[in-house]
Amino acid sequence: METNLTQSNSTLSVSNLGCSRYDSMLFSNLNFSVSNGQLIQIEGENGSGKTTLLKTLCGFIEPEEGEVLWQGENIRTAREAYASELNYIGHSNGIKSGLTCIENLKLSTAFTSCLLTTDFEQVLKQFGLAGHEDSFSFSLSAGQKRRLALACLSIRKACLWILDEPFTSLDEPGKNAMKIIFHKHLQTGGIILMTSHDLIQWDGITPVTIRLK
Amino acid sequence: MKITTGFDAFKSILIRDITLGLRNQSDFVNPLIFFIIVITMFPLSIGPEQETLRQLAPAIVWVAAVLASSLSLDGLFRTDFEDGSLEQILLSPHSSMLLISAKIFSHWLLSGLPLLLLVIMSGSLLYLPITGIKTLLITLLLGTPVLSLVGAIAGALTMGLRNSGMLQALLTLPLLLPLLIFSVSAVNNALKGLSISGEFYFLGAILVLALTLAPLAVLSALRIRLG
Repeated sequence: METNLTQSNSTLSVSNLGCSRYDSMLFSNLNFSVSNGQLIQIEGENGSGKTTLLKTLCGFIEPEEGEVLWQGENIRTAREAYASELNYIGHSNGIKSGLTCIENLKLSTAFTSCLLTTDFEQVLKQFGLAGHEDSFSFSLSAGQKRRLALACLSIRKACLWILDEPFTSLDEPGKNAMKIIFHKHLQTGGIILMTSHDLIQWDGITPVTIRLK
Repeated sequence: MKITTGFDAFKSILIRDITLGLRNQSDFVNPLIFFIIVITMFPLSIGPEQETLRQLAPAIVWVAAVLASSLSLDGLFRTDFEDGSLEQILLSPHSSMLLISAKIFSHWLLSGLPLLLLVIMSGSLLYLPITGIKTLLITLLLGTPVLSLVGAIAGALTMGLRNSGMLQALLTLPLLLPLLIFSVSAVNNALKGLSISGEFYFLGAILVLALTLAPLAVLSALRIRLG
C-alpha cells in the first residue's frame, strides 16, 4: 500500500516560539521549519521543555510568544485542516486498558478522517502483537502497550507525526520494527517530529536536531 | 483505505464507552444501588403513613436521582484524562463537540435510562399512584439528560484534581435546583389534577439549553484542564 500521503507540500513552521511552565521560561525565540520527508529530533535535558514544546505544537498549550504555523496559517485558525494531518502520541499511550487490542485499533475510526487499512489482524502482526488480538490491553506489558499505541497511530492517515519518546520501553526488535515504519512514512512524504534521548543513526535518514537548553 | 465520517466517529466513541461501562460493572451498578437504598431509607425512617410518603415521593425520587447521578459522574473524564485518550479525542479531525456529546450520551444511557426503570418499581414503594408515576417518569426523561450534561461540565472542570468528586457535587447541585423545583411541582400538580404543561415547558427549555450549551462549556473546560 504505497499511497502518497500528501498532494501538496506540507510545512510546519515555528516562529519566535517561547513557552513558560509554572512561571519559569522554558525556551524562547525558537525558530524552525519542517517539510515533507524530514525527521526532526528534539533533544534536551530533563525539564528542558521537550514535552511542553510538543504539546504546544499540538495546540494543547497556548504559547507565551510566537506562533505555530501549518501551511503558513496559525494552527488555532486552521484547526480542522491541521487536525486531519496530525497524529500525536504523548507520554501516555492513549489506549483503553478495558478494551482488547482489536477494539483499540477499531477505535482509531474516531480519531482520523481516513483509515489506511481495516485489516487489523495484519497490523497487529506487523507490530509483533500477533496472538494478542483478543487480549485486554491491561494484560499487555509496557512495551507491548507502546507497540499497540504505535500500531493505532500507523493506521491513521496523517502527514505529521508528533511523538513523545516513542521508543520508551520498546526492545530491540520493537525499535527495529518502528524504524521500518518511520522510514516508510518519511519516504511517502510524511513528517516526523519526535523527542528521544538516543541519537538516531539510521541508514538513509538524516535527522535534523533541535536542542533545547 | 476507509474514509470515516463524523457519524462513524460518534458511533465508535459511543460503543467504546458503553462497552467499557458494561465491562466495569461496579461503576455502572453502584449508583443504581445507591438510588434504591436512598429511596428505601425514607419509608423506613418516616414511617409507613401513606399520605406523608405520597406527598414526599416526587421530592425523594428526584433528590436520590440527582445524588446518584453526581456519584456516577466521577469517572466520566478522569480515566480518559489519565490514559491519554482525551488528547486523542481533542486532536481528532472530527468535531470534538460531537465526540464529547457521544461520551455524555453514553453516560446518560448507562445512568439516566436505568433510573427510569427503577422509578417504575420504587414509585409503588412510596405509594405513588399511576398518574404520579407517569408524570414522574416524564420529568425524569426530560431531566436526567440535564443531570448528565451539567454534571459533565463540572466533571471536566475538576478533572485531574484531588477530591474532584466532592467539588463536582458542590458545583453541580446548585445548578440543578430549577430542575428539581419544576419536576417536583409537576408531579404534585398532576396528583392534584391540575395542569402540568407549564412545568413541562420549563423542563423542556432547560433540556434544550443544556443540550446546546453544555457540550460547548465541557469542551472549553477540557481544553483549559489539558493546557
